[in-house]
Amino acid sequence: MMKGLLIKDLKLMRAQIVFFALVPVVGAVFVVPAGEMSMGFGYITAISGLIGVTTINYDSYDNGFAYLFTLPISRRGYVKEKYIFATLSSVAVMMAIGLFMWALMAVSHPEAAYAFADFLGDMEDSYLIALTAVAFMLPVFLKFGAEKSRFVILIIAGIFMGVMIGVSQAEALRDIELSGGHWVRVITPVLCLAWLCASYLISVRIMEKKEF
Amino acid sequence: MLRLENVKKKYKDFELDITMEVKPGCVTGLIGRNGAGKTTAFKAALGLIRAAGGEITVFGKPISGLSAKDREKMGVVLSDSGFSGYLKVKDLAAILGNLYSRFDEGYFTGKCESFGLPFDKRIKDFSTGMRRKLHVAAALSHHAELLIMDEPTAGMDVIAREELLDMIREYMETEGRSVLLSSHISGDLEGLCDDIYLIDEGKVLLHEDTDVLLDTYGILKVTKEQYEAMDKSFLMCRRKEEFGYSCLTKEKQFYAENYPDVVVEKGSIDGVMTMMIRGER
Repeated sequence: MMKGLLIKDLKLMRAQIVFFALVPVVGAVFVVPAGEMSMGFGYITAISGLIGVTTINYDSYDNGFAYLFTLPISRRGYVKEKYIFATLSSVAVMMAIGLFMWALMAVSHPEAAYAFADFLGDMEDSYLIALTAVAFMLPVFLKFGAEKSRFVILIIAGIFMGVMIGVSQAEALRDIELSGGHWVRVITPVLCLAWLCASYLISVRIMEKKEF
Repeated sequence: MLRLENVKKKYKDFELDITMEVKPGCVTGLIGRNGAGKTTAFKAALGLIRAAGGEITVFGKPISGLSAKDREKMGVVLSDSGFSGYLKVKDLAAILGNLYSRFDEGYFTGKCESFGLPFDKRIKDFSTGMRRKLHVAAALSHHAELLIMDEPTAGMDVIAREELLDMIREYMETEGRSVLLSSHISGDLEGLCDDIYLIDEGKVLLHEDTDVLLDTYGILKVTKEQYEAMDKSFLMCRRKEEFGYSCLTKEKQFYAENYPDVVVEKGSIDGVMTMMIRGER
């Protein structure tokens, strides 16, 4: 069952091929003129978080959920697959676009000397934020459906862009980390994982109550 | 195979309260006008909506307890839902092959080809008839034991409809299989169904074997005087007409023999449905 659903979502991602083609172009617009990556990280965090979640829109298109749940797919299994797919697709998309933007940065602004190790660290932060966003968006999309969730997309994208810029410039946070606050690096993924698990349970409950 | 026992579902302006059964080896038809509750009954039978009361069992198990393995034994065509419109026919073989352990890819692609379905076009660009053909091909491609088809012939031309009905007949050649289907074309049901449920306003008005309905039901055309004089014991309902009354009976032979002056029309699904819904009881 899981494999069939994952294949379906991969096929549905292909429907967004034009969108994917535009992503690096927009990414370049964020990186090249600015000469730094903070805007770019905000951008890839938002995009990678949304990729997997938007497959729910394709599933629900034209009342598609009703038919989907006549197939050998349990509602809990569907939710589980969505979390797996969103988690994996966001890391894949983030790595692909992130590496492209890092390379672009290295070529267009060598004076910035943005090391690859720093880049990987920032990617990890971005990924955790993207997962937090995924954990928020999946239940929202499952509960409210495609139409109403469009407003949520805009709001979330805006908030995360702001948060990423804020985090990258917050000296206080850097001070915590530099002054030995390495516990932040440990506790953040744990909190993120806990939030993801709670979100999964909420989503299962939403789907089990839903009628089509 | 499938049983709905006093299943209730209430909406703002509609209430379903239905008892029906699909027996092993039988093709059962569900008829009724638009909004009668056919689709709601299908959705209840599939567990897509939660019934407010009653019991739904499929393969002898409550619908809420059906496993993915049980679902594999069902093939479904819905009137208002299907595969995501962003998928293509060529995508479906890989998806279905990983959802159904007994998926017959050769059968599926062969049927799609014979239906003339384009493999490289998004489903959302298909006509209603093409979508129906696709979903029928999918429903029949994994050796299901129970087919549940809501308006499977909608939007199909005559040839495709005949082809589909032949596919269902062929499907029923294997012992123990059952079909529940609805259609607004009574001819589809007359030639295919073993028994028929007529529903209106969410309730079963009539359940009858198709052979019985076609052989013993009749519509009497009588004047007011003939109506007053006749034995009304076997009349099910009447409808006022310009010439007097049309009356539905389950004993047309009785009236043909005892009232030779009365015009007796042979029963048909359309005729019985119209009389049962519009007639006074």
